[in-house]
Amino acid sequence: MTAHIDASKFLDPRVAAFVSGRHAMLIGGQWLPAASGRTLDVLDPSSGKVIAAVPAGEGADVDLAVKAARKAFSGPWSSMVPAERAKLIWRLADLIEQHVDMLGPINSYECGKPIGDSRNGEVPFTAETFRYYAGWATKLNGESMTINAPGDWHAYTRREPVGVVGQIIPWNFPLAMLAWKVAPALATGCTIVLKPAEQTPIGALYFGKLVEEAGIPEGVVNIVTGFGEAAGAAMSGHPDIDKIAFTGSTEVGKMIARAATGNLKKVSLELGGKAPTIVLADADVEMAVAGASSAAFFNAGQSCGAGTRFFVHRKIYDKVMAGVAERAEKLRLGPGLDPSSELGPVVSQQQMERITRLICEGKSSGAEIVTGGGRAGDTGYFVKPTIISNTTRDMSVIREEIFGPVACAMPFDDEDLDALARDANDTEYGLAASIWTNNLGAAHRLAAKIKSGTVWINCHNFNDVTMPFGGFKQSGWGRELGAQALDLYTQTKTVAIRLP
Amino acid sequence: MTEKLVAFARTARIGDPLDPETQVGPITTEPQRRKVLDYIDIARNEGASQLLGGKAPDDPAIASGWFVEPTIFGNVAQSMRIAREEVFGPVLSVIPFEDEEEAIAIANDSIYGLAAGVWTQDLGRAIRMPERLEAGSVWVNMYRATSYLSPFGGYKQSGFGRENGRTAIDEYLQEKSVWIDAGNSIPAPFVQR
Repeated sequence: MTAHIDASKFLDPRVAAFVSGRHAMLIGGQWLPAASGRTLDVLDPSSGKVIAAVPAGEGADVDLAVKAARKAFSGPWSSMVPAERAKLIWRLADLIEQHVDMLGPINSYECGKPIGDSRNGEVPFTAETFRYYAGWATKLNGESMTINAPGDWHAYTRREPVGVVGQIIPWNFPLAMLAWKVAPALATGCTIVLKPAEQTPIGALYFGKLVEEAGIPEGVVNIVTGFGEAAGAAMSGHPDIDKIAFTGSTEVGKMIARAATGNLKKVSLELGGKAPTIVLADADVEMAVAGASSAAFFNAGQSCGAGTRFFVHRKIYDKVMAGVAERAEKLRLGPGLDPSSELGPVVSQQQMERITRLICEGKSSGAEIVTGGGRAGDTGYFVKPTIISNTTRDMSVIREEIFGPVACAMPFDDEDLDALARDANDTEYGLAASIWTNNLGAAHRLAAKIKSGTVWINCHNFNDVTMPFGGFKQSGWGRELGAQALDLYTQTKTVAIRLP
Repeated sequence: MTEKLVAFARTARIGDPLDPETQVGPITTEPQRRKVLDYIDIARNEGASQLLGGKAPDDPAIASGWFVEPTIFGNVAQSMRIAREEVFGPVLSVIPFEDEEEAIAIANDSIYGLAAGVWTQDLGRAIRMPERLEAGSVWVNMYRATSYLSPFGGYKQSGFGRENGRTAIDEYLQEKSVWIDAGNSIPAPFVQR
């Protein structure tokens, strides 16, 4: 397990030139600095070095972006026929695919994930999401109702865009999360003020260039870079933003929901998780080992659906634990840009410190480290893939979302599905879960008992554009992807006519 | 109304379909042109009054093509073949009615039910008439619009199924119900619950 520190040798000169170049925000078709003139630094998490500076947008910049979005909403975008919108969104998808050689490395450079995950995973998924919603633009129909009251009536519904939407994107999947929000908003005819995470704004700014190249009218997509507490807060409380969508922590999600009450803007939230990975006695051990490892360590555990609580039947517990530990110890840590890296750094110093603090708290309250257990090396923000056992239900490692390559493992003895579901559901979160078994009946019965927005069976972290994703309980409001995401960006109008 | 209709139809420019100025082209096949001209004869013989057209155009420049002039018949009765059969040529029957009720009765008195048009500025009538017309498409204050967004197809002997819109996709799918018993008890095999 070695941490390489020099990512620059893997950097294509064109990517390097764009990243280190002068960055501006896309507002109303113009590239502007922050009104304050201030900038914020973007770091390479594999070295901690500054790689770029972007405008530090604040309230004044958000105001300007909202004005541009409002103008575009009442102008060209809402009057454009859906088929035209569909064509532009499709063209944007093509451009994303064509620019994979820029978007992939930018993404891995600023958020640290292995380049293959960007190039072969996230970027194609981003393009596919835009393509999927391009198709929906022409299929947003209302319906007509048959009325029960006496007399002659005609009643129908229209699905109309919500208006100007604010979208706040996290740093763990900077491009995919952008697509999950921007694509359905464009398809429904909304206009957008987008704030990428302060840690990963560069991919979003590059995306802004593609939005222009696709021919999407100015002001439809506005990109304000900046800190959450300045730009994000200004968006959440903005009186002329009709809807806010956020992906991030439950704590910030609650702040956004509170701020949104001013004008009661619509809110959708995709928040934290503490997903159980449940391995039943009959599971294929090899498959479960690979699945549990991926559930915990994919994207360095920085996935809201990450499987961070293993429930493994006692009969195969030792075998599964040995397998996962072996895999964890073999994982090659390194910068995302290095094609040989299998596990990148976590995104920031702050995240690394939080993760290692939670591991320490676990240890000092009696948990055991099966493998890993702290920072890797002394450069960059690398954390060793870590498995913790001997935990109890009140420990912070079990209760809090760690958002790092850390999972806790618990054996169970009998296959009472109700008891198992009770333990799996013993969390304030409810985003995702996975069940590993070949038992048809148990798989479906347990899936029904789990309180989470997604249940994966014999897979984990599997997302598809057609499958709604979102949280039960404190994991959020609303569903992204699939047809359901369209509900987040449309409102229904009922028209009832009494026939004279 | 009929006078204006005749005067307006008379302005239609018949000619070479490749000429961008042309508004009415020829009939596609020779037998079809003969059929259209035959229907015109039948209508005259049954007592309809020919108000416009009724023959191939006189213009020698297009004499070799299979053209038929836009043709309008007045005084058409519901019993006439011109009112009951599909002519598939530029031939219009004008049938008078007294009120909405009678208009609906006449319009629906057909084995066909593909499409219909209603012209009105009356809000109630614009909804009521489409509801009562037996046709797969009804256009209000317009005619002949089709789109991949909107299903198209026939009532009665105008056809089975719909093309366009999401309905068209159903024509190519069949639905399968799959039942899985996820329970772990053995059901009573001889009792249906």
